Amino acid sequence: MTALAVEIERSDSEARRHFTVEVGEPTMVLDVLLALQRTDASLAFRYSCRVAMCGTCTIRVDGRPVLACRTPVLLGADGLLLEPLAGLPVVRDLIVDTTPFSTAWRSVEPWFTPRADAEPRVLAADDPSREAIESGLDCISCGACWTACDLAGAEHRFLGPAALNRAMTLAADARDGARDRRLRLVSQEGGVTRCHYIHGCSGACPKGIDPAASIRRLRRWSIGAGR
Amino acid sequence: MSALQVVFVAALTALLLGVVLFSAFTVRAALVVRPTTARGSWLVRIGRASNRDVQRWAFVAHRATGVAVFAFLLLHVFDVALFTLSPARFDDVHELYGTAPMRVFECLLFFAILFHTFNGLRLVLLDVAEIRLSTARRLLHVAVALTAVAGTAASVVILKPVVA
Amino acid sequence: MPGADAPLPVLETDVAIIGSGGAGLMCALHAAAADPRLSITIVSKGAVGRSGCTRMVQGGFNAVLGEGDSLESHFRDTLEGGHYLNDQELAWTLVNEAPRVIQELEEQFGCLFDRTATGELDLKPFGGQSFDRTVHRADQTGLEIMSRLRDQVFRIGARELEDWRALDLLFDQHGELSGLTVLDTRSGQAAVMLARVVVVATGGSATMYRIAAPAREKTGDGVAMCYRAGLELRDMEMLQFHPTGLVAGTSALTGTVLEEGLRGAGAQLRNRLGERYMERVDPERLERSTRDVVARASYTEIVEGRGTPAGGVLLDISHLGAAEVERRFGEMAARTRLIGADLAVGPVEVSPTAHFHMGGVVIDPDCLTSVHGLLVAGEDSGGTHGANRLGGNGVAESTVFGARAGETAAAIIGGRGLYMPEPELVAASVERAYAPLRREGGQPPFALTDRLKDTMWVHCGLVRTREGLLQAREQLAELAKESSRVAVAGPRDANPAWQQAIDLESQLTVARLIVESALVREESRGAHFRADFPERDDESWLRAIVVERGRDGEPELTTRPVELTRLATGGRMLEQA
Ligand SMILES: Cc1cc2nc3c(=O)[nH]c(=O)nc-3n(C[C@H](O)[C@H](O)[C@H](O)COP(=O)(O)OP(=O)(O)OC[C@H]3O[C@@H](n4cnc5c(N)ncnc54)[C@H](O)[C@@H]3O)c2cc1C
Ligand code: FES
Repeated sequence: MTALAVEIERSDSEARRHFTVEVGEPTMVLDVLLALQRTDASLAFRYSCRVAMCGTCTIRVDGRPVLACRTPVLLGADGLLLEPLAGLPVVRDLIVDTTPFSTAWRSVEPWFTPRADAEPRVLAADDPSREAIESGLDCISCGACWTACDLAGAEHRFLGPAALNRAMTLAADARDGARDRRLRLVSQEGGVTRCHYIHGCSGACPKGIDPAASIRRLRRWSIGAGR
Repeated sequence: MSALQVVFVAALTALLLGVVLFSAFTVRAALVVRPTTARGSWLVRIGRASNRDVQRWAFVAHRATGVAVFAFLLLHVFDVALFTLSPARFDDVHELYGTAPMRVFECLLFFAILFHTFNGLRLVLLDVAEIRLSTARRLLHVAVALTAVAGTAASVVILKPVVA
Repeated sequence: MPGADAPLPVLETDVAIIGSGGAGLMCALHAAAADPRLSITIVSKGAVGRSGCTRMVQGGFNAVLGEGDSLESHFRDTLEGGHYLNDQELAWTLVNEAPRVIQELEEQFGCLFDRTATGELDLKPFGGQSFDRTVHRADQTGLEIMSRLRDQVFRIGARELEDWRALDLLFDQHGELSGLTVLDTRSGQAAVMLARVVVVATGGSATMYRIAAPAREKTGDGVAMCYRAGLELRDMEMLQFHPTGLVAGTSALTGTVLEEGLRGAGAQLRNRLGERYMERVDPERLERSTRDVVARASYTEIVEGRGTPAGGVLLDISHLGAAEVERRFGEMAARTRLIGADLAVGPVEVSPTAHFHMGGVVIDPDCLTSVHGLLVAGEDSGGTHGANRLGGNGVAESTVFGARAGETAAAIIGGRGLYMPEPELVAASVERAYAPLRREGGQPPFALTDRLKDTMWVHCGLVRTREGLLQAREQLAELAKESSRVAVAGPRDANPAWQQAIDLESQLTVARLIVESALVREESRGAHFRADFPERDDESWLRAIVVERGRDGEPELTTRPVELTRLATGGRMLEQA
């Protein structure tokens, strides 16, 4: 067990910010939060699954947006700084309101629409469409990319990496019947043309998705088909 | 130094200052407004940035070099335009380009141009072709390497007269 | 304290769905499809579509789709696995409709399941099954299903109350269901929701054990709520332990599941001495035996001192080769690397982990309960899985019955109005929720939650005895007393400690029902193993234990014979429609 200094950005300026916890091996940042909750029961943070599936435990650790449950604490580190996600309104302490994120997600009409014209198609293992879809499929809507993007959530009306990545997986899907409409949606103001090639999203995604590449791809397609 | 030369040096200094300020602002934005490591001094944080962030730093560098090259180009348009006023004045200012400090500046400028070019080409490539994240990062390494090699070679040529 | 004395806000809706897991969202989609004019409200304690366990399903979804497979075979496996305690009509509904749901998920909602090079669904082997019938998408099956359902819910535009928890069911003075009390956990404001139909789909409860797998929200709220409202619960003693939960010291990663598919793919379990103990326990099926058998075998190794120092056994799949493990079980390999092991290259320490509650509210195949207008679907219901659930039947249950609940809701809604709840019920419910905030001098709930988990793990876990259960009963009574003194200082907005205090009440309620039912069942069957009655006794115990809240507020237990409507215990199919 080693002592670790932890600083937490709190909503209430009176609330305690500095803590020390004893951590052993292995310890995730989520474990640190759960331990600190016992010192200060008013500490607010969110989590559900503990296994990088629900995407609700996302916070900034030393500035970087990560899943608390999937981020090991390095013993011997000189301390941890925990902050809520950037680019989203804070509810309390480390909990943010993800409404802007889901509003953006919703606005690309993220639902699958079966093709009206054809028999349902199946995508075999080696179908080229499958590879394109799978490259963006495991998104858990954790919002790390939103925070890591300099534009999303910062008054630019940018739909953000996750929503566009979802739009890409649908546009890549040969089974989906709303490709043209969706490509039009994402080529509007705030869509694919807003991306500045910062690649913050691709560096931050805890699932190893490359949303920047999805946006590039979507942009290529929307030039060809959307307008 | 002639009056015109003083004006030129002053303008260049002002531009450089502007570029430095802009770069500092961009770097700060990358560090503070949005993530990467928020603890420690700027230098520590830049030092800690991992391979995950290289493309973000490429973006910062791309912006800074873009602004620098553009700013110099503006000045350069003016000093070249002097020729239309009077070839003598043109020569007067352009003498400066041969001095040691200006040659050092030119080397830096050349590095900036090279990086902006190679990284720009890389971004075009990302736009038109299907490129994986790891490849994109590797391409960045290539762009940086090319910049380093070509920039060093050019620097040798540029600096040779004053060193010798 | 505002919230109780000031009049509560009142919300109205046609269908109130509690829970946004597989059952909740399927219900919303099917209700909307059956009647687009319905106003639908989803009350979700966690993020909509991103809380609960359906999303955490790694392994897959059982459905009869392969050539040569048959509904009868899946049904038989389900009953064999459930040790014939199942409600056969529910199990049959599950088996019969699972293929249709898979088809709907793929063709209507766009789920992308793994397929072979020739385009057939890639069906993988799972424990306790005579045929490879588990549909999956790599080891992220639940994520794919829930993400796509969640996207569809955007389409229907239901009202979503995210981070709101349901507290209690409400009735009018004639006993008509009138809705429920809810609590917005972000603002801390309680409200009354009037609903014509209420669907309870909170995903049951297996979190009251020291080592446990489910998501944070699953504290038995729905089951406790129904119990308080007087509904019958069955098979409460049947709590499944998954054989392979991760052992990771004090980290919250402890108890998280390494999926069934590993054993299906040939993973081996060994004790510290290197002995493959399943050869002793079930030489025929080895690691692919049912969960109850494997979990208890591992548990026995551990308590008899043949486990690892950290209290686990070793799970090894590295013989498949690192690349193959990475491809098929990537997420889990990554998880093990976090704790300094690596599934792809060597053995990993695992222990049985509390996983799934087979018991729950008594329903019929249309999800109807004994209360008019109240439906229950998913893990909150009881009977489908009998004494042990097969891997891959859980997500099938939540989606199949969620869909049915949606259709039933639309069908019965015409006969139901909005009824004014009895004010005393509202007041009592809200008072109970706010109590921890109002109390002074007490402690936050954490220590009590720990003690509850220890009690259940030690005395009501994989191996039970009468003495142990009696001790558990005593300790739970003590805990219940102490829990009435739990205090949380506030604030009331977004306060997880306060929410945990409310959780504790549900957990204690459900824990008590598990212990009481386990005391009654004097035999061993499936997940329920009594060291003092180690044999299965079909003669006297082919009966479900049903518990409801008696007049005096104490649990009343009765037993009810299992109706063998379709399959006799010997495995003989009965003449049936
Ligand atoms: C780690 C893990 C792996 C699993 N793997 C498999 C597998 O491979 N195959 C398989 O078939 N099954 C598997 N299961 C089982 C399967 O997940 C469950 O059987 C099924 O998903 C339950 O679905 P549900 O809709 O009933 O509940 P859940 O999906 O758990 O959803 C419960 C919902 O209720 C909400 N809720 C809880 N309390 C309240 C309240 N008071 N008010 C409002 N909302 C509330 C929660 O927020 C959540 O949205 C697994 C389970 C776990 C835990
Ligand atoms: S707790 Fe679910 S992703 Fe971290």
